[in-house]
Amino acid sequence: MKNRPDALRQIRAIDDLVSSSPQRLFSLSPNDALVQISLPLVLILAIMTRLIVVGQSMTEQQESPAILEMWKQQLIFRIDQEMDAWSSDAQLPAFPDASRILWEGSYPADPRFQLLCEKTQALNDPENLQRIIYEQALIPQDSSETASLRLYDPLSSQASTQPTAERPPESIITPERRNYALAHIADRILQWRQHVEALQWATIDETAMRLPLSDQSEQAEASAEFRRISSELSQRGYPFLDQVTQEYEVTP
Amino acid sequence: MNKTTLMFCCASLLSFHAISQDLDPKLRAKQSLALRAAAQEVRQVLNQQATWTPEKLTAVSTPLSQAILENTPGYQQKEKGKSLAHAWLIQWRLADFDTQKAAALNAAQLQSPLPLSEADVLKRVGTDWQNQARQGAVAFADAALDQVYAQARESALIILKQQLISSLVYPSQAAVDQALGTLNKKQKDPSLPLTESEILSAPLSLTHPALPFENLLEELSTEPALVNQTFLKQLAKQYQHQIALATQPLQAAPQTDLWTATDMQQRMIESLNASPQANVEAHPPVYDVFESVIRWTEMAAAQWEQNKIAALLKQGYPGQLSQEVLEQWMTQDLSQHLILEESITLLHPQALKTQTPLLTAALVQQAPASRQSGLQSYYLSALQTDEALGTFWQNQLTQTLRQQLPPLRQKLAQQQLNQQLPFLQPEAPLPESVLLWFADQGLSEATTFSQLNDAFELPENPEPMLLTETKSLALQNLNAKVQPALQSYTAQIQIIRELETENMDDLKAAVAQGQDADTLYTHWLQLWQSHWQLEIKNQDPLWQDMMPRTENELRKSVRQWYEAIEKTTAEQQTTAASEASPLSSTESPDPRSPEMTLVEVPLEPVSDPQGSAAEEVSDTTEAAGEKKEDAGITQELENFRGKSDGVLAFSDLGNGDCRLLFGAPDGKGALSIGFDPENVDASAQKIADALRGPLRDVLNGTDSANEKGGFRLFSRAKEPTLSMLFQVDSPKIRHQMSIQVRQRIQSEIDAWAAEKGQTAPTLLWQDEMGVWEE
Repeated sequence: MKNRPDALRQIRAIDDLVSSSPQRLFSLSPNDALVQISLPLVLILAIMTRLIVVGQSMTEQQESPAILEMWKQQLIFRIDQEMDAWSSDAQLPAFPDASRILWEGSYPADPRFQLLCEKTQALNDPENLQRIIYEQALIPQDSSETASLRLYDPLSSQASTQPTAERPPESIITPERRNYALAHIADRILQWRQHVEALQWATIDETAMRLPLSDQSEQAEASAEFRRISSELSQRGYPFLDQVTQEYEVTP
Repeated sequence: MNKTTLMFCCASLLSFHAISQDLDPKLRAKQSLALRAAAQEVRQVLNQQATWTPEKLTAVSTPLSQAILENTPGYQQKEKGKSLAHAWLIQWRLADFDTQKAAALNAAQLQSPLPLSEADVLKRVGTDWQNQARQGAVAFADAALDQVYAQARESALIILKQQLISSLVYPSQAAVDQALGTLNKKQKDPSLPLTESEILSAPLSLTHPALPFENLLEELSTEPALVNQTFLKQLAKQYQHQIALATQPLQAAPQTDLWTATDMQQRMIESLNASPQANVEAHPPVYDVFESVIRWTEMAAAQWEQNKIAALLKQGYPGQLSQEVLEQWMTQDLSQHLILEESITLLHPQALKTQTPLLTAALVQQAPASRQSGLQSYYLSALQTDEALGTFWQNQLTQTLRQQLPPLRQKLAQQQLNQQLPFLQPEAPLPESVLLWFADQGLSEATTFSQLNDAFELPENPEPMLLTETKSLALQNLNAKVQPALQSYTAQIQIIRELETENMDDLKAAVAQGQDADTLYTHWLQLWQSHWQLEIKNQDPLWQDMMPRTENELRKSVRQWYEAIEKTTAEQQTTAASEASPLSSTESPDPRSPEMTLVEVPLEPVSDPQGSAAEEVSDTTEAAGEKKEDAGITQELENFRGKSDGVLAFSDLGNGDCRLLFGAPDGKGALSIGFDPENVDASAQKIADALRGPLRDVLNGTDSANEKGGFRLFSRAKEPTLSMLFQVDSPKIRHQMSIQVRQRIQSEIDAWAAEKGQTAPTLLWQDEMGVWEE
């Protein structure tokens, strides 16, 4: 009796085989499609992505020296320290996404987000912020720092009067080294800006959703709505980046 | 398998891309902004939904006028259409809202990098947007209805009127010909052309292929009739123009080349060629020559031909029918022409036979020699047929005979009178025997020739040989003689009657004094002469002498009166001698009793036509088959003899009904009738209807008795009376029945007296308790 379902299944399978036709081979159920096609496809995609990432890492490792040079370690280290400090001051770590923003009614009511918006206005002039961070990174952190570790950029505004020839070559920031450092800063500033833009767009989105419709006759266009919301938020202490506020002013 | 995999790969990639886009805050923000803008726009539209501004008037009224044109039956009545327009405005406003909503959504979609959902937009607008839109549309319709509907209807009317005029379908030539032909058939005189008013009543109507007239808006309800009227007026103008063209040859100066109706019609049709070219496509169409006009030319030409002949008849032609010719024809056998109509019937074929060639010769005399032969044969044939010209000519002949024969027949009648009845000439005296014949017959004039024949006692009746005019002339002459003679004779007799009433007392005294009859006659003759002298001036000079018949009548009257008075005096003396007693003077009979109404002296000479007539009536009644029944009734009535003039005896029949026995005791007017005593009105009416004839018999009998009594001669007659015995032997006869029967008998007696021209006799009702007068 226990084997009876199997026997029936086999009989049905034989019937299906006998009565099957070429057209019926493609008549898959959704479940069959999910199991037999989609999952393998996803697995293949995942494997391919992983292989690509591994390949890129291997290429980078092969192209860069295994051990960084001293000036580079010091400079990148100091730059990262400065940038981390700026980031903390701007409250960026507090808002990994827009859901952390506090709201009251139709508008945000979050001092930290206000601080973020005000601080990140510096991102509107990234070159200046880049230069400031670079200059800050060149300043020695304490007196115990050895001379060989003191980085010197002759083009810096804070450059000492000490002749360059007297300094070890490892501590002198050549234009190439300077460009390398500035590029490093620019990458991270770009990430900040993108993050802040995302936060601010999310804020606009949320405000647009929360704000009740007006009964007054107003211009009913997305750009007008955007200007109305960004203006209101700016007045409430949430100034947005230029890249955000000028979105609808640029001809696409 | 490979295809399926590829399809799923594409779907997966697209889904991945969409998901990644959805995760982009910028794109999502732009989507939200666009959605908000769309919702804001829709909200504003919704807020304006109820607002009506006159600036929209044209934009709204134009489609409404189109809707009116598409549904003219619905909008036919202005007031009823208003509700439809209101509903239309609501729908229009809702549709307008949908349009603006879609436009807002489209505009927003252009501003959004991500797709927008209409449901999301409307959800953002509010959950009650549909109700708001509906309410707004109703408010909008309320506010806009009057202005928009008025302008839309006006626009629709202008368009409809243009459509009506531009696409009318006019009647075809065949339809117009048929309609005009129908009108021709209704004409009293088909030879006349149709009048404008007749054409305006033609059963022609314009149609419209796409616009039924019954569905036109009410403002245009009279428009089809006006358009139709305009068309009919135009049609009448075309018709009259054609008639005018056809009439030109008739009105032109006499033309020597037109001799027959065919010539004239040909000329008229040639004249019609000048009518405008037919154009059925024109608005209104220009028609070809109408069949009605062609038919009219035929009749007008025939009329022209008849007029031509009539003019010739009036002018005269050689050998034209004259009285001399007719007298010659009649005198050949006058007995065939006793009556005018027979004479005309006899003479007409003869006249036709002789006059037609003469007329034809006169007609063709002026024609060219080349046509004379043809015209002669044509007229000879046409004048003797039953067609129009022949009928006209034969009627003309009949008319001529009717005009010429009466004076001729009058002349012949006078000749016959002179020859066969010379005693009726005006100067011939009237024999007294003829006068006395008329007096004896009671005739005042002769109305038939047989009376004339009897009066003159002609040995041979000449009537079969006399014309009707002769007989009329003879009677006329006779009556002219008889009437003054009769007047004189009647006046002479009337004087005798007056003497009888005026001088009776003198006559009695003279008889009592012992004068003889001859002396009395001489005295009365003198009296008659003196009366006649007063009357003589009123009489015809030929009849102013005393007629022999009058003298005899006077002599006879005096003789009879004399003898009657003598006899009465002798009887009175005998009665006084035999029945003289003290009581006789106190027990004088009831002056109202019938015995007292009897005449003192029954005289023979007084004529009694009424009495004889009554007897005739009674005989006639008996002859009607009631002899057997009357026999028993008469015996019953015998029991009442001496009690009254008439009897009304009611008794039971045993079956619940009653019976009325009526009649005079001598059996006159005997009647027995059964009736239902319970049904008083119907029974009273039944009795009255049944009594009408018998009652008159009784009345006539009583009247005759009164006259025979001579009360008119020897005494001033008392008022005539009639006593009726009303005997009731049945308890079923109610008082109401008694009253109704008496009333109806009284009214019947009044009617009888009115017919006789006499005073109605006083009715004395007599029942079981006694006699009283009503």
